[in-house]
Amino acid sequence: MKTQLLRNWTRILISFGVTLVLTSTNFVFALEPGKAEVKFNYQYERPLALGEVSNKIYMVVPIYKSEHERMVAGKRKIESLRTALDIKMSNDQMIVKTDENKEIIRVKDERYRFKLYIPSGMVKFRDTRLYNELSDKDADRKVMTEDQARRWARNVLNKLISAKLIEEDQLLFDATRVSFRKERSAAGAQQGEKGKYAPSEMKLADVRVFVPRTINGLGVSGEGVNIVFDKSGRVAGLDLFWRDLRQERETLPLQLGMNDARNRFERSIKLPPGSQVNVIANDLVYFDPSKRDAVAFLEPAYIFVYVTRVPISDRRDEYRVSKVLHQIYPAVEHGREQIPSERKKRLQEIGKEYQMEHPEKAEPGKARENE
Amino acid sequence: MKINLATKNFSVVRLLSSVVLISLLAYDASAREWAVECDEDYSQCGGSNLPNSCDNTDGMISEMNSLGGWVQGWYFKGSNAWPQDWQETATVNGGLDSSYMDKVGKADISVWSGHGTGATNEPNGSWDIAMGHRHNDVCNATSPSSIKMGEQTNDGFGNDGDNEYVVMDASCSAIEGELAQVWQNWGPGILMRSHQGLAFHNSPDDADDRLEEFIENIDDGDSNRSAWLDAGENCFLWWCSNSPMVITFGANSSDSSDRHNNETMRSPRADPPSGWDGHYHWSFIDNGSC
Repeated sequence: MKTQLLRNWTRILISFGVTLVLTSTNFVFALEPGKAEVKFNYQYERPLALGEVSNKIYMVVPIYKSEHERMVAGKRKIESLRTALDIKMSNDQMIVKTDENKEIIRVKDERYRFKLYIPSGMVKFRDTRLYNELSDKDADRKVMTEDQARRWARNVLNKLISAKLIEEDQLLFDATRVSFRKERSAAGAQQGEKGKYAPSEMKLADVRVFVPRTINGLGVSGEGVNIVFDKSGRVAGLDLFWRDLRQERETLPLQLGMNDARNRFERSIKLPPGSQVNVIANDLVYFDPSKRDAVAFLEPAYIFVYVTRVPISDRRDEYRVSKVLHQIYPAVEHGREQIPSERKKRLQEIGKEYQMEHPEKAEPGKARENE
Repeated sequence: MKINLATKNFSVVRLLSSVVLISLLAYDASAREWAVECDEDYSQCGGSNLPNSCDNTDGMISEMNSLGGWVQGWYFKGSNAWPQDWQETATVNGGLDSSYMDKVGKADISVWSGHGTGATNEPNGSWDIAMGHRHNDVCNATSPSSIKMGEQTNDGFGNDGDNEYVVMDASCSAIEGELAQVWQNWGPGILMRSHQGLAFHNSPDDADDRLEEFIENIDDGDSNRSAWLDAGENCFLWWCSNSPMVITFGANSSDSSDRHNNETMRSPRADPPSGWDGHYHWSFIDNGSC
């Protein structure tokens, strides 16, 4: 009898304990709905050519520190690019113009344009005649194939390497991406007309080849060379997003692994149940914040590039879709401060200026309802 | 003598006044207005916050002066950006587009920078501006059901639009398979008599300088089409991630092609396309869809 009673009590206590554990687990999940209910879809495949990530990281810093040095080096870079691409500009029509914020220098004539982002030393080149070319010109001519585009890009890159504008060992040619500009047309509808929509055949108008930059087996986020070829294979545009960098001698040990970074990333996402986070890329990279900003160094960091989809409550299978967002988690301890963005400061001032000039924004709705 | 001088002075004053008046009239005739809305805080209507969404528009308006002839219409951020601002006044209960984003004399270019919407199975023939802040219990403005821009004469929808260019710097805003419904007059969609739509076939990155780059390109001599495609594409890590799209409306195929290739905000065409009928041309860089 006693044994039976003891068994029953034991059962009751065990089931109470299990209930308690389950309840507290639910409570924890309820506190973190993002962790429990949000679905993370990791879609990224690291380019094989990169190899294994080392646990010793070199810091990478810009060669040119002062604004003056960057400006001089940038102008020199434009000259080198002109020579490499064999661009002959008309001297009597050439304009060299620095914008009032000293962020951009433009060198252009009636056909060609070079745009230098002074803080980063990155350059955009456009043959405006080809780049703006009428899309229906040479309508019967086909654009080159992906393989042809890669070969033509290789030729252009070789010229840039010879001109010391880029370095061969920092090009990840195996990860080259090719895309196309596509064009189409269709007649509009007459009032009340339905069901005769007939768009033309899709045409390819140009081809774009992007070759990313790597340093020591890590991708440099935001850097690489993008080349636009017209139908005849002529260079219509070239983005030389390539800072002048040098690698420091000492290495720093990795302080963070991908698993820890991933946990931090997932914990940071606060979205309602049923949301999706599509992670386009998660990798250890050198992070370049912007072509419009100067930097003291490129942060070695885990980057998560992602899009969120949040269900719309009163609609089935429809979502609020975010722009492509990113978060970074520094991977080494270096104790350095990044240069604050001059441009961000300027934009904040513009925001304030418009806030002050237009009181309807200070009191939401009030001024507008009196319109 | 005094009388003569006075008469002469009076004539000079009259002449100068006339010159000033004519100049002012000419300025008014050529001036264009920008109307811009953005949001970064999505805690109210749902969605991830967008840290750079309004920096993007701040950068744009800092460049607008360089174009010449463009002045401020509206700049509404956060809780001041209402879905009703885009909804058709004539057909949507509470719609205010004729007061704001399609208002005569205020909105020749109308810009949204923020979230958009997508479906599990795209194209589904519908897209929404997804606001961060709710107004009168509404968080979205939907095309084709409630957004019509630039309508005039006998188009319907109040015939009281003015807009020429629409920028939707948001996800899935111009999926190629649903342009007919969302943008073209088959919906009828956004472009009733607006000349061009500048948007995205996929999700663009949360850049803080895309719209600034767009205006800089126009200032440098590009057509709207080239300027948008150039500014819209962004190469990030191993690939170029954005698929910028330009849709142009014209009275017929030839007019549509001409506008598509040559129209520029440096000197916008004064003549609007046809409201119904007409022709559309579109171009996009295909770096993937939604």
